[in-house]
Amino acid sequence: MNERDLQLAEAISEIMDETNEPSIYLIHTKYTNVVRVNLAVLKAFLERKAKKVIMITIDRPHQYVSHLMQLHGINQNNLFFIDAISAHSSDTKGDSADSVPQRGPFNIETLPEFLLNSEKENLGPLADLTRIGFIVIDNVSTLLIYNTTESVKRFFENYLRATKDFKPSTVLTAVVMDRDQQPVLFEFISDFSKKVLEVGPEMTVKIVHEMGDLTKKIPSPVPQATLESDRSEQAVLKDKEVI
Amino acid sequence: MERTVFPRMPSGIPGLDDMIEGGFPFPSVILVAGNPGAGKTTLAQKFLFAGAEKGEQGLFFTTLSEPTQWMLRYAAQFDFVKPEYYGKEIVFCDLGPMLRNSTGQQVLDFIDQKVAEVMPQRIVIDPITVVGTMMKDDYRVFAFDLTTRLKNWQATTLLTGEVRPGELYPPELSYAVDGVILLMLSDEGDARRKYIEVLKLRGTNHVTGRQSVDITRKEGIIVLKARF
Repeated sequence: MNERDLQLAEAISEIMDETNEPSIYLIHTKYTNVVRVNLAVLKAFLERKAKKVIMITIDRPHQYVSHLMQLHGINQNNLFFIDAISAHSSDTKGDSADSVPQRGPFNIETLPEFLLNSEKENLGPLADLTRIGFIVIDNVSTLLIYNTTESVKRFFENYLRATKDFKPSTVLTAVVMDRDQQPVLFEFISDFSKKVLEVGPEMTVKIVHEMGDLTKKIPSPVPQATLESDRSEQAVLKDKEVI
Repeated sequence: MERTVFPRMPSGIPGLDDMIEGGFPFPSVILVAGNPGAGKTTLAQKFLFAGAEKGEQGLFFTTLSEPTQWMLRYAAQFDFVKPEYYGKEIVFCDLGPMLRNSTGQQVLDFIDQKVAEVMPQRIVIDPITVVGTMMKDDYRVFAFDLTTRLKNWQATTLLTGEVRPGELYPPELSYAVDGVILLMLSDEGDARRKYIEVLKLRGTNHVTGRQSVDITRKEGIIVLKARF
């Protein structure tokens, strides 16, 4: 990490204040900078040594993030990976990071349930969710390769409910993505985000949107009837595209 | 429903981006294949300088074609080459010594280490075909592992490949890469003309067929058809 990256990590750490509610911080940056910004966020979180950090990797296998962190001197003692992509990556790269593979990036809306059930399965730090302070989700735009937009939206809704169920429910989540690549998804996530940040080409960060009590925004479980209507709506849209 | 659109990384080659929906997919690995003198290294250099102009990090691996020193000496003749980027936005790394004495796995680990250190968005390996002729291990497995890793490092990589007489592209690599760009020299009467053709570019509705190219001091390689 160069001087600018280190300053970014420091600035992010100052902005992402811990509160008594689950919070999402959505960070926009150009697609070529997503890796750099994720690294800065991880550094910022891991330096608050008191709590465990989880990184959910979707865009690429966790070994790459772990290797980058190792090379750039970021301590991974408190880090645990949930790897949602390695099962499909045919990758031979080795590593020694603490990780658990997920069955794949498909049906991502079930991942929050996996998180909540992990206590029973005694999966590393997931065995005690109260120790988790921070979660970083890799480039979520990639989810739209494997899932419908509605599934990804449900993932976020279920995820927010799941983090609220953690005791204590103060998990802070960072999502880094390029707004210009997936504007609809970005807009959707920003509705649930405590703060929306923007990291420019010079790796400087600014707050572009801030909201108050997030818990009021957490939706009720989506009834099955609504899911059916989502499908119908998609079918109509698909028909329109054909026309 | 919001369709997943690949981020595109402009190539920096005038006229080429119009043929490939705005640029190469990011991340991806592209093979630039061609005869000696067709412009492979010039295209790769322009790709890195175009990124550097936008603040993107580049990493240039040389293999056993020519020493970096000589490559840069000739590159200095182009107007787009700005030495102030050397060692900063564009980092050079000589794979030659590694290739002489190492296994495929060691070469992969060395590349991994360098990429993790520099964190580039644009990578060039020039030329990759030399690796195949030197490798004692299975070159096809090496090519698969190399391209998988390069993509997972979140960069767009150009591999240049020299073709043998009668060969269109190095076949060991064509399956593993996301795109194949051909640079050709064609005998036409007394002249030898240069052409470019996008043979394969996954996820891209690209222009097919040969397009004339020229190499100029000002811009390096340019696609002529796009001018008119």
